[in-house]
Amino acid sequence: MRAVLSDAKVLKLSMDAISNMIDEANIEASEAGLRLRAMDPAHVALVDFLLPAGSFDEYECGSEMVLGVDLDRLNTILKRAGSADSVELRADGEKLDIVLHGRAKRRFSLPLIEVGDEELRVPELSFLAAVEIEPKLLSEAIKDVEIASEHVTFACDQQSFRISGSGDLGSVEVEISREEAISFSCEAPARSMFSIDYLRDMTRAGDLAESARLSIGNDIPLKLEYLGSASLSFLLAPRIESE
Amino acid sequence: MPESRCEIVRAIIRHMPMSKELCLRCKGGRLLCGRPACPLLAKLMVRAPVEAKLGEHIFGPSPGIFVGWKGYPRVLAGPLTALEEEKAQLCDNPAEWYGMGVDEIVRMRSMLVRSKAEVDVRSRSKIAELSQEIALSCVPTDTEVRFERKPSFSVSFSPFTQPLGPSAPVKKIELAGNPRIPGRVCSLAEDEVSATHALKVLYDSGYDVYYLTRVLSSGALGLEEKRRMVPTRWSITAVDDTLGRMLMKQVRGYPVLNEYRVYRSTYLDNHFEVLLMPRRWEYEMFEGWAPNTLWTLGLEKPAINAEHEGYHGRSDYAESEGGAYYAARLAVLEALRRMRRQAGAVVFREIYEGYIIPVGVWEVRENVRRAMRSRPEKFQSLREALADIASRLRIPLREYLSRSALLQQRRLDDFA
Repeated sequence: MRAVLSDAKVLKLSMDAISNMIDEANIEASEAGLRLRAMDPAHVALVDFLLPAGSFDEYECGSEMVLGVDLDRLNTILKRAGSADSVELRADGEKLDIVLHGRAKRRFSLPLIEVGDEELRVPELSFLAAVEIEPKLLSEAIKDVEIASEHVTFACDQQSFRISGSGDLGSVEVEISREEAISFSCEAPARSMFSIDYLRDMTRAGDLAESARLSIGNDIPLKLEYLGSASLSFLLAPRIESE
Repeated sequence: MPESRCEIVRAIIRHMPMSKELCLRCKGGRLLCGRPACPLLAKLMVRAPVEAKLGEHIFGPSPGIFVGWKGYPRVLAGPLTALEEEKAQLCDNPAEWYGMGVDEIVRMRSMLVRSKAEVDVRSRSKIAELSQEIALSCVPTDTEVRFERKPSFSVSFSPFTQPLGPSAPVKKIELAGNPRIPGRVCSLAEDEVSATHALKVLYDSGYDVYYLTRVLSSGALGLEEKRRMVPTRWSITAVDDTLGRMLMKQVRGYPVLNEYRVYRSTYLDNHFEVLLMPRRWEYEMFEGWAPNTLWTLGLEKPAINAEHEGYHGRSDYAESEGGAYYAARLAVLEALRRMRRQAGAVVFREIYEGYIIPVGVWEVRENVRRAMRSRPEKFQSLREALADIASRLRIPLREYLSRSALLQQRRLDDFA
């Protein structure tokens, strides 16, 4: 497998968000591109990250490969890439080479590891509402809610989508009207609560896409998708709301 | 007499402002606080025997040292010397205290005289060297101390460190016996290895937290240029945290426990329930005070602190619970390593109204250690396990649940 990306931003941002939740994962390399699907150790969040072959400047993959990677180390290496550097990924059966091309050619070699192949049981969910907003709007709303709470409630009805939280120190609500959203659909009122720790990590990747699509239901997992040249999506299990 | 009460009232006010009015009204006679014995009275009863033994010049075994934190990096440090020879080893080793009453602990600690010398934590002064030898010795070392003046009777309390007895500035101090320093410790103290590494090696060779806290505090460990004394209260949590991280690494490699377990222990008006859950390592601790007790007068809602960490551990300090969080975590991890299992762990600590005097973080560590050595109740579901715990908690379970990061979080598996 050999792949070249002249703009490494997408890869850097995604890995930064993912490596905070998941320490090691298998990256599947195929003709279609690179794909990483994994659950965090607590089985609260699932990540599905796809870099399609077409999003690379050059992409070759002779046969399908599974690359077991320590994501923290990969992230540390990618952080060394400057904004003007292009990133080349090369894998054989034993290691993943990350070559940063800039004024110098910097080659980092990452040994591949054996990652336990847990079967991913991905829940089938039927959502009641889906809202597309600017990623920045979402990450800022999470930061607002964090002032008062460790949990975030997403709620939606025909008029608006609301991100809120309350705690001993007061409460915060961010309201996004139907008109303000990029797209908005709501079959029935929906409401679920989530841990802010996870959302904080997930929304770090916001800058990689033009829009963030949130799908919610009542007390079911949230689906958050960042769609751009790459696609990064998360499922996040809800908290039980106590009265 | 009145002056001595002043001291303890001051100590109590410092650590527990709520009790001020009550103690002043009660004056130790009416037990308004609901405790079986008044700490104030306990203090008066120990005063006479201690004072009889105090003088400008004392000779006795020194089981440990104390390094203060005020004024850091210029701190007051020096050995603790026992007035009762036969209890020298016991009185600085909380690992053996479980089961003792608070009066007994106060009496024992009041027989330990603290020498105070102002030293820079990096200094290699004679008193620093000598304190280090005492700290490293695995048996108390006979010491001869001349004070600037006769130490005055006092006992002071802290939520971190064990109660401290009388103290005075030291004029001259000599070792009268040979410290017995284990070879292993000697060689690590001479090697150029980090304090973290040295602590891990020593813990794995069987040295307990209390000895290691003393060794770290004495400034014997660490890379040459970083070596310094560590205030006792910081040393306690540094050791709990360092060893906890080391155990966590091992525990994360073990298979997941296959059932829910509940362990419990009650000691010194502190009640602990420890829940282990069949999932990968994560940890949460609650500290709850029932409403309308001495600690929470005028509060209608229960006061609960909650701190947690995920699989990877935490990087910030558990501010609201401090040392107790790390002490309990260590005790749980020790048990998981013995079992060779990993699990999600939730510790409930309920502090009853009788816990007036903070005795130090060892109480939490030993209480949880005791709980984890008891026979657990076993359950097949979280609901059953929580119902069992709820039956012994004074604060309603829902109060904890609403603050819980771990127990209210659902998993994706629940939806698959």
